[in-house]
Order: sequence, then C-alpha cells, then structure tokens
Amino acid sequence: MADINIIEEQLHGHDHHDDGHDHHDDHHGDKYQSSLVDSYLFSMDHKNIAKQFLITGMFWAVIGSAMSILFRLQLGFPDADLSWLQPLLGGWIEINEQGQGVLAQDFYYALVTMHGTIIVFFVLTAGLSGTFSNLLIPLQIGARDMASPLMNMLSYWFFFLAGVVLFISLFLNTGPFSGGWTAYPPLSELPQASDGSKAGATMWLLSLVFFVVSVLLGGINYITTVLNMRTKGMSLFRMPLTIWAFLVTAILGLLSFPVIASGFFMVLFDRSLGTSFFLNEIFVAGEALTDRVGGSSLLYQHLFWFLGHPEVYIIILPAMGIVSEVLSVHSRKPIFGYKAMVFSILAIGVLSFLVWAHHMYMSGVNPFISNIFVLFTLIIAVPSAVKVFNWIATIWGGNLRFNSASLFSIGFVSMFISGGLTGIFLGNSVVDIQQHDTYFVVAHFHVVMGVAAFFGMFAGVYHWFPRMFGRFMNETLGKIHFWGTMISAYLVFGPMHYLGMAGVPRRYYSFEYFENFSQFDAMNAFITIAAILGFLFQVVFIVNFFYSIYRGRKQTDMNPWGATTLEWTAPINAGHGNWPGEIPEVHRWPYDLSRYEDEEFVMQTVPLKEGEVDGGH
Amino acid sequence: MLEIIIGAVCAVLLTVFIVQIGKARELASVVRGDKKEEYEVNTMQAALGMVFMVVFLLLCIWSFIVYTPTSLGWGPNTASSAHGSDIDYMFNLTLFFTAIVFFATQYLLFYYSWKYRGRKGHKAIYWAHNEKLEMVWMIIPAVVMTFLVVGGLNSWNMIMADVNEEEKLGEDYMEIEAKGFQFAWLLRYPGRDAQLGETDFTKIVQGANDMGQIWSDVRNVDDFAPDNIVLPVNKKVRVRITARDVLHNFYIRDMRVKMDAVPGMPTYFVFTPTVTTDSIRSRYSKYPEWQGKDKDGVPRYARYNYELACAELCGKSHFNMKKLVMILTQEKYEAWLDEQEGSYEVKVNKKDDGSFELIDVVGEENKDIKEQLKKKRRPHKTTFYNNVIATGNIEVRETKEDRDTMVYSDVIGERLDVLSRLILEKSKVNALWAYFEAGALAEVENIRNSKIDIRGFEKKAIKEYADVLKIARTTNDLNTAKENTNKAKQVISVLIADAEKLVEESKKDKKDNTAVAPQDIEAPQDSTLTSSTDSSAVEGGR
Ligand code: HEM
Ligand SMILES: [Cu+2]
Ligand SMILES: [Cu+2]
Repeated sequence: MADINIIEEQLHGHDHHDDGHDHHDDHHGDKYQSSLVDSYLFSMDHKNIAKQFLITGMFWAVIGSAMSILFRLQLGFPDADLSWLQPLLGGWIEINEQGQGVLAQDFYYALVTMHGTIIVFFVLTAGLSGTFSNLLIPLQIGARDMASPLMNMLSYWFFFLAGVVLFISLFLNTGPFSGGWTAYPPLSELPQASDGSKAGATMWLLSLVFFVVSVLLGGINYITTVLNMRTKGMSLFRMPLTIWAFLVTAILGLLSFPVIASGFFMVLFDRSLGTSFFLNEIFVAGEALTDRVGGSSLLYQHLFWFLGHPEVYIIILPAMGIVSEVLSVHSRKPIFGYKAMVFSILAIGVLSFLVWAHHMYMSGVNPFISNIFVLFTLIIAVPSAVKVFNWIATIWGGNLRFNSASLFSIGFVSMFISGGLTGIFLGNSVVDIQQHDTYFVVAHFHVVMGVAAFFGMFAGVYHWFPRMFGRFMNETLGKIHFWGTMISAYLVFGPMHYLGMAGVPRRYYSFEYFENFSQFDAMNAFITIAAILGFLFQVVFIVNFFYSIYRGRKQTDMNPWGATTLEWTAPINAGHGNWPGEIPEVHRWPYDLSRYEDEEFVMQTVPLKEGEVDGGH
Repeated sequence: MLEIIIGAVCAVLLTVFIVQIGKARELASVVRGDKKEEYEVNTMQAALGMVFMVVFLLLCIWSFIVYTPTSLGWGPNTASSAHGSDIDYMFNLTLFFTAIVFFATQYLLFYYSWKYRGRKGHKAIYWAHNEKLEMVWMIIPAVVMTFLVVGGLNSWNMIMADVNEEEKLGEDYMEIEAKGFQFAWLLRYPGRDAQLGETDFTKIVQGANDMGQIWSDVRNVDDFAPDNIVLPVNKKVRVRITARDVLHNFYIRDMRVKMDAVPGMPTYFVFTPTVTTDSIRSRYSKYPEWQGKDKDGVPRYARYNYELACAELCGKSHFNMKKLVMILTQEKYEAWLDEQEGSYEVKVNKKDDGSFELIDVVGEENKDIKEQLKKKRRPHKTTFYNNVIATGNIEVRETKEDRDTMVYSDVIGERLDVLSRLILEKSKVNALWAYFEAGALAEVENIRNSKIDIRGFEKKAIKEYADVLKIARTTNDLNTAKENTNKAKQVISVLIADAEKLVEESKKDKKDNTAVAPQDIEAPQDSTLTSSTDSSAVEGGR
C-alpha cells in the first residue's frame, strides 16, 4: 500500500514527463529521496528496474561468453600456447613440459560450470524475463507500476547480490565451483573429490539461493500485477501474448524454483552439517565415509530437473512472447491463432512439470518410469509445433518490415525449429541411450534455448529500445549484428550435431585419449573460430547499445512501429507512473493490424465502432 | 601494462570503427527519404534471407553426406551390439520425419518472409485464425509423435529389461562389474563360479581391495580384475555398474551402451556384442580415412578398438577414463580366461604341504613368491578355491536363494581385510602381526577342516595363541617383531603338533564312533556376511 501511495504522490508531484530530452529528470515528488540514488540505484520504477536487469544481464553475458571462448580455445586449439593469458588468469594457465601455457583441467571445468550458470540463470532468466517482464507488464496492461515496487526493487538487488557472490567466487584460491551447472552430488558435496567443490561450491550454492529469492520476489509481483492491476477493459484475452508469456513464466518460476532451493539447502546441509540427503556408500580420498549413508544422488536430480525443465521454458517463453509480438507488429498482421498461442503457452506450462525425468533416462531410474516421461515429452512437442506453424502463418500474407527486431524474430523461429526438432530425438528414451551427454545434447539446447532465447532478447531490445531510452538503435549495425550472429551461431552449433552423432561426449577437456572421439580436430578448431567470430559480432551490439543510449536517433513519434498496444500510448521517456494523466482504457484486442482499409492499425484504446466485433474471435 | 594499453587502444579503435559504419548508413538513409529506403532495405534483407536459407539447407545436406562415416547407423559407426541396431533405426526414423519438417518449415519461413516483404503498394491481409488449418497442424505432429513413441518405447522396454531368473541360471549369460572412481574404471569378472561376490564400501582398501570385496563371501574368491573388458561375441552380458566416489557413466559408444554409475546404488545394462574386434577392424579397413598408416607403419584400422568411456562429469580427469573393450571369439575368450587369476588367489596361497600362506600383496618382500605363484597356477586350474571346496568347508548349493545366502565362513578372509588395512596405514609391525596371525589361524583352520571334533583343542590353541600374541606384540621395532614372530611361530608349531596328534588319535576313535556332527564344521545358518569380523567369532562361532 505504501508503495502505491508513493507512486500516487509522485504522479501528482509533477505532470510533465514528456519532455523527451532529459532522462535525468529528478522531479520525483518524494522529498526524502535524492535524485540519483532514487532514480538509478534504488529505483522502484519498473522501467528503471528493467534497465538495471538488462544492463546487469549484458554484463554477465559478456563474462559468460568470454568464458566459453576460453574453453573453446582449449577444445579447438589444444596445442596452442596460452601463456599470453597468464596476466589475466594467473595460475589457471599451467606451463607444461614443452614450456607452453595450457588451460588447467580444473579451470576448464570451472569455466564450463560458470558459463552454464551465468548464461542460464543470470542472462537468460534474469536478463531476459527480468528485463521484459518489468518493462512491459505494467506498460502493456495499463498499470502505473508493479503491485509492489519495493519487492520489485528487492528482486533486482537479490539478483545483484547473487552476482556479487558468484563473482567473488571466481577469485577463490581453490577456484570457483566446477561440477557443472547442474551441480549433481556427490561431486558437488565432496570437497575431497574436486577443488571446485571446496569454497567454490558453497558460494555457488549461496549465490543461487539469493537468485531464487530474486526470482520469487519478481514472480509474485508479476503474477499479482497481471491478475489484479489490468486497466479497465483489459480482459485476459485482450492481453498481448507477451503478457501471457510473462504470466506463465512467473507461475512456472514460482512453482519450480522453491523446489530446487530446497535441493540447494540439502546440498548445503550435506556439505556443512553432516547430513546425508544425497550421499550413500562413498569411498573417497582413501577413506570410506561410513557415517554418510542412506541418501540418494537421484533424489537431487529429481529436485533439480523438477526446476530444470520448467526453467528452460522460463527462459524460452518470454522470448516466444516477444517474438509473437514483434513478428505481428512488423508483419502488420495479427498474430495467427491468438487463442491457440495462448493455449499452447498454457499447455507448455502445465506439461513442463511432467517431463523432468527426460534428463534422467540414463541416470539409473527405473526404466519403466521413463515410459511416462517419454510420452509427456513428445506430447510437449505438439504445442511447440503449433507455435512454429502459427508464427509462419503470421508472416504469410503480411507486409513484413525488415528491421533488426523482426530479423531476430525470424532468426528465433529458425533456431527454435532446428533445436526443437533435435529435442524429439532426445525425448525418445531409446535414442537418448546413445545421445545422452554427447554433443548432440549440447547442440540441442544451445540452439533451442541458448541462441533462440538470445534472439528473442535481441528482438525485444531492438524493438523496445525507444520505449526504454527514447532513442533508436542504429539499424545498420543491428543488421550486421543479426547476420553475423545468425551465421556464426549455426556454424558453431550445427557441426556439434555431427559430433553427437559420432557419440562424442560433452564436458571433455580433451579428446585425444579416445580413438572414437579424436577424429574431429579440424571441426573443433572450426567451431572455435566461429565462436570467436560470433563473440566479436556481439561487440557490435554492445557498442551500438551504449552509443545509441546517448547518441541514437531520437524518437519523435510516440508509436514508431505502428503498434496497437498500450506501452506506446505513454509519453516518450515517461516518468514513474507511466501515464501523466488517466490510465488509458482498453476496448479491443491487441492485434487489430491491417483490419480496415483506411486504418493500418487500430490501437487498443480505440473504442469499438457501432456493430464492430472485437477481433480474435 | 603494455598489453593493457594496446588492448585499450584497439578497443577504442574498434568502437570508433563500428560507430562510423553505423553513422554512414544512417546519414544515407536520411538523405534518400524514409519510405523508399525502407522498401529497399526490406527487399535487400529478404533476399539475404533467401540466400541464407538456400545456402544453409544445402550445407545441411552436404555436411550430412560428409559426416556419414561417423554418424550412427551410416558408416562404420553402426551398432556392434544386438540391441544397438534398434537405436540406430529409431534415430534414423526420427531423422527422416524431422528432416521433412525441418526443410519444409525453414523453407517456408524464409520464402514467406521474402514473398511478403513490405514494398510499395503491398498490403497485409487480416487473417487472424483458421480453426481447420490449426487442427490439421496439431493433429499431424501428434500422429507422428504417436508413431515415434510407440516404436521408441517398444525398443526401450526390450533393451532395458533386466535378465530374468531363468537366464541367470543358464549358460548364455554372464555378469561382470564395472566400478567407476576418480579417475578410472575397476573391472571385475566372476571367475569359475560365474558369480560375483558381495562387496562393501567399508572394506575398500586402495591397492589391496579396490572393490571392497567381502572375502568371507566365497563367490569373491575366484573373482578377478582384468585391465580391460574382454567379452565373448554373441553372449549376453549384464554389466553391474557401480561407483565408488561420485557419479560416473559407463559408456561404450559402439555398443550403444550408456548408464550412470551411482555410489550406493548398483545399476545395470544388458547387451550382447555381435561384432568381434577383428571384424570391426576389417569393417573399418574399407574406409579410406582409416587406411592411413601411423608412425609405426600400421594402418589405423588395425589399431581400432572399442572403448569404454565415462559420460557423466566426475571431476577434473573425467575425459580420461578409457578402458579398451575387446570382443573375442568364444575360443579366444576361453584362452584369455585361463590366464586370469582371482585377486584373492594371488593373496592367499596354499602351499604344497597343504598349509596356507598369506601373501603381502602390496609389499615388495613377497614379489618372488607372487611371481612363482603365477607360474605355478597357470598350467592347471587348481586353486585355493578348489582346495577349499575339497576340504569341505563350504556347501555347494543349487537353488538361487541358497546361492545368494551362501557364506564362506573363513577367518582368513577377515584377517585379510585387517592386513590390507594395516598395510595401508603403513604400520609394518602390525601388518607383520596380522600376517602372522592370519597364517597361524589358517593353520588352525586347516586342522579344523579335517572333519573331526577338535573344539577342545581349538579353544586351547586360541587361548595360548592369544597369550603369545600379547607378549610378542609388545614392540614397535620391526626386527624385534620379526623375532617375536618366529618365537610365536614355534609355539604355534608345538600346538599344531599337539593337534595333529589329536587328529591321529581321533582317527583311531573313529572306528568306534563315526558320527561327526556336521553343524560343527558348517557356517551357522543365520550368519550374515559381516557377523564374524571380530576374532571372537573364531571362538564362539562354530
Ligand atoms: C520440442 C521439445 C523438446 C524436447 C522433446 C526436448 C527434449 C530434451 C531431452 C530429452 C533432453 C535431455 C537430453 C539428455 O541429457 O540426454 C533435453 C535437454 C535439454 N533441453 Fe530440451 N527438449 C525440447 C525443447 C527444449 C526447449 C524449448 C528448451 C529450452 C528452451 C530445451 C532445453 C534443454 C536443455 C537446456 C537441455 C540440457 C540440459 C543439460 O543437460 O545440461 N529443450 N531436451
Ligand atoms: Cu527438459
Ligand atoms: Cu566421468
């Protein structure tokens, strides 16, 4: 309640946000808060929090991808001398007998682990869903802010804290955690078994517990806001698909993250209180742990994937929402099959809780159980397929405007097709016998989740950049960014399918010990070069992003894309509270594009004409 | 420092360069006017999309052809196990369906983007939904999925089924164990009794008893631990997959075998190798990329091997857990079997005079004996195990339950555990004692096994023996310990002589009284595997 009052106060304190020039404007009504700290550091304005999530996410994306380049160097050029990296990495570069610097084995696994954790949680969960849920939920449903701006701010700061803890762990003497982003015990619990499982693991767990808190604070807020704070006329079926996606994402997060939090706590207890939730009959470092019996590693795996699978949809659903919106707006056509899209989001949401054990076919679970999970896993492919067909049908008959946002959306669909199809292989347990834990899996999830979600994020950034900063990003650079990324992404992950089909296992520091896996030196070098290329293209994006914040072409038109949704009815660079006057009222669904000869688009705020039926029915 | 400056300068230059590219185009677009420019861009980008799509799809086809030699089910990488061809088949069936969808959807995505690009005079149509169409493209994937699920699960349930009881008793099945640890695989074969003995992680002693075999389980006695997996072709094998420290995964690519190894929870995988190592090599010899010679002038295919790998992240040397897998013909396999010795057998020796001798498996002192032993054993299969059976110390039972509960009530086994532990603790004096103790007890055991009631003697012997031990153990010096050992040995030999006398006498008595209570020499029915770990069991147990 207090928060709402603050907003109201702020709203009445000033009524000219639309001054387009000065986004340092500090005339917030609350006299107790100093301007800079208030509007940028501890801001409660959802738009600022969105920017905080985005920029923090970008920071982590750079770190996470740079790490992947480092370990790709090891895989692509195992004989190269890396001693030039010593000033940066210190002891992690070991000098071998030939006097060459090589990446230490421990560090390779630490890098892989950090890369996975950072990209999955910090970038594609917080950076994506955090950014766009925050930015778009209030703006698109017609609310002044989130239900609880304070909790929203806390959500960001818990994310920030999680980042700080993980970042510090990079500098530990024994190194950061190195047991993989899935952190399976007993490896993650036994300091004797791996250096990374010493302090690094504790900090990793701590960091992720903070992260879970962040997700929960955000999620509760998103759900409450969507359900309770929609403006007049904004019925559920008049919400843009972005909002549907964010809503279901938040519900998934709220239901699944606590489960893994409990798992993380149990790991922490096993590590420091001597419990044995996940330990049984272990002999390590010359010693039998006779008092650590009765637990099960499989229990952890169930807990992890009960989060883990919904998590991948937590990552992809916001991207799907963004792409649906962007494709529709730039095709100048309603999204095809709006209701089908909504129901497939809901179906994916429900089913994503029923498929977790497809990550565990070969883990030693009773093979009979897998039958059920195969069934549900392949069922989930149906709503996914429906979405793909609907996107293509949205383009069909459109009048497609090619800009960076729509290009990345098309790229998203292409990636989602490619990666979704490989899921059908893996979902079939019998095929997974061979493909599990090979590069086929790496290819699958990078294409369908990694690259696709990044593409969704890029589409969103290019599309809503004016909404965030009142300026446009440079289109030329955007297109260079798109084509560079699209091509290098396929060049990196395409070949990995063949590695997987040859049975090459993932998480290998080197392939030289196996005849079966060591025939791909050239391909591995190729992949590494493509990855470096792809990384360089991201520099283009980052330069473009920060340059455009200050120097980008100014937004003059309040609704530059000719969209119908509410976020474009708020003034450029709107202040806290979004609309200086009344909150707009909604009269129609969000996809009245090209419906009438004379009007290319009709905004949601336009009342239905005499005898006009709302669209989408 | 210099590096940092150079790096910073490069970064600045790159940034400026990128910004300039962007600016140049942006200026041009302002000059040429918005709408026209937009249409040109649309056409340009849509065309790029078409080019991309064509090149991309062609590359997919081309690369698929290039990589058939390593892709499962196509080149030489076809399954070498009975169930494996099902996996290859399902993979390629899925590939068939998904390839159709892949090509169709990628094509339509880029083609429609091209066809419906924004251009002058062109307008979008208002087409919000079409129930019939949506039903069609929901049902088609659903049908295909059903197809795949049914086929997939059918094979899955067949492949993952455990061997049934009947097969277990039959001849066409064998079981081996693979135990993962950081960072290698330990292998164990059942030996001549075709059964793996029980293990217990608390019994593990690195170097002496890596698998934690319980020596009092008779099935362990002939189990052996080869360096590589060697299997006969066309025989069903069940791998008992276990782990010692963290998760591992038992993965043989060519066999299409993969299963996690979980500490404290044995898993399994059942498969039948169908292609011998020799045949797979000749299969590879047909591929030019395998005909190249290595530095010794041997063609690569001739060195090809099946390989066991680890496929579950287990720590920093996860990538280096190779074992070779050799598939041999039945005859070759049997020849190989004959050369193997149980790990117990190389630790306990029955001397020619019938007494037992315990070999320090870690120490250097007994290297010669160990070598001799190996030579002595090779030509004939007589082993400690057979001797034990001959002495009647165990019962051979036939039913399955009986076999599972069958317990070898041998004190030596327990001593051996103690011994290995002491060796590990580097307590040479104590190890010597344990060694002696086991030897002495073995003697006692030997006498006891002569099927006469020597309970009275046994009690006496053990009491005296304990006294001797107490005295002799009062030193920490190795030499004194050795001396004391010898003294103790003398005491024992007197005891043994007494016992032998007793035996002789009782043999005379036998003529009058042939009744030998069998329960006196058998393991107690309810004894569990670990119930006799302390030496008091020796006194009271029988
Ligand atoms: C078309 C539907 C999909 C199916 C049938 C499917 C199936 C699977 C299966 C069975 C695995 C386990 C493979 C293994 O470890 O052996 C897997 C892994 C994975 N999938 Fe999917 N998937 C689908 C779509 C997606 C989507 C949409 C995402 C994310 C947006 C995703 C993300 C992942 C990730 C991250 C992993 C690997 C996790 C790890 O082991 O590190 N999948 N998928
Ligand atoms: Cu999953
Ligand atoms: Cu491993």
